[in-house]
Amino acid sequence: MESFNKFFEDWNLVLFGLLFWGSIFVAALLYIFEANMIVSLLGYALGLAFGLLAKYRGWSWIN
Amino acid sequence: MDQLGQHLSDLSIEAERKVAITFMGRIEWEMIVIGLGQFTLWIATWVLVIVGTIPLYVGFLLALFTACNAYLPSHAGQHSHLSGGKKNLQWLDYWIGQISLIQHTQPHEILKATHLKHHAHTNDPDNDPDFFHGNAKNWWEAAVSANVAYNNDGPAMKVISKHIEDDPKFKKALEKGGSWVFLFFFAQIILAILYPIETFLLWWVPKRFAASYLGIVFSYYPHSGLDKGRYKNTRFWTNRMPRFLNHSMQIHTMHHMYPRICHYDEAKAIEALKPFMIERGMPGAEYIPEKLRWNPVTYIKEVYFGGR
Repeated sequence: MESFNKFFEDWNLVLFGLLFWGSIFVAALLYIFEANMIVSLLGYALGLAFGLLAKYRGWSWIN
Repeated sequence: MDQLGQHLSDLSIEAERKVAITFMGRIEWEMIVIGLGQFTLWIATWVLVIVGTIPLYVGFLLALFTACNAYLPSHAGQHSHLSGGKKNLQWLDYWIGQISLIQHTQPHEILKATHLKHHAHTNDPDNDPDFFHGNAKNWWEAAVSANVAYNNDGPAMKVISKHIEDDPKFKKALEKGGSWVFLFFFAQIILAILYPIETFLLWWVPKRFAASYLGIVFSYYPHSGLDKGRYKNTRFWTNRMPRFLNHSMQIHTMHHMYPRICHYDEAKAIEALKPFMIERGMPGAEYIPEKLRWNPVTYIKEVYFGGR
């Protein structure tokens, strides 16, 4: 449990960026920019990048 | 009132407490209704948007409304107003407070612990977790600070870390709220995967908007630029809007003077305590109208502009 807590503490913003913001970016690419399915999956890459940026800048406001 | 009138010539602290205590101890049922009501409306909004009964933009506006009404019931629970201070009803303080905070993705226990530190150290930059939006340079900075001051290395987080080190009870309260943090974290992710745009506009944006609203109306206007001390740390103010649209934070000074008085009793308590407030030199007390109940106090301009 302690190792899970440590993992969560260290990586929660990255996980949140990938899954939460990634899903939102994918939906935005699909519905707003009418991208195809393959291109829209880049939204998850954007989410991951946003999460990594948040981790290194300490941006917990993304959560 | 006759009994209260007898104390008016005696403006001692003891006399002040005798008057104040007459306004304490009831169960604030209005906040229970608001807490459960706003949460029910928010859930209904989700359902109605997903089944297509209302458009997303209407849902977004409703979610903004519910988010802005989500904090005060928890705040009432933090001060035991929902239980009326009765031990066998303390579950009301916790559960109504927590249910109401779901939209804010905040644990009631954690907000209670940090809010009580705010009361103990209002306007102290080293110990007040709300200092940074409460004492921002302007309303916009307060709106931003309410969201970023709690970043991992943000100034509010540094204050909280200091209290964690110094106060074991505070640390324990934060740990108790931890399971809700996990729950909210995964709930947001699951909903974002299933309903991404809806989660963004019905949950994330409204909660961030509400945090800014709270930073401006609950912290910045009442506290900015004032001293420390329960009679000096909060002002009467106006932004020219009826106070009923600002959760009556224009008269928040009553809450910092006697936190055990329920929110919906503050106006009549101020009417009775006005002579004591003037005697103590509370910022803006001299401008308090005789009648505050149902008074929108849109006109105490001198205090807001003169007091800054």
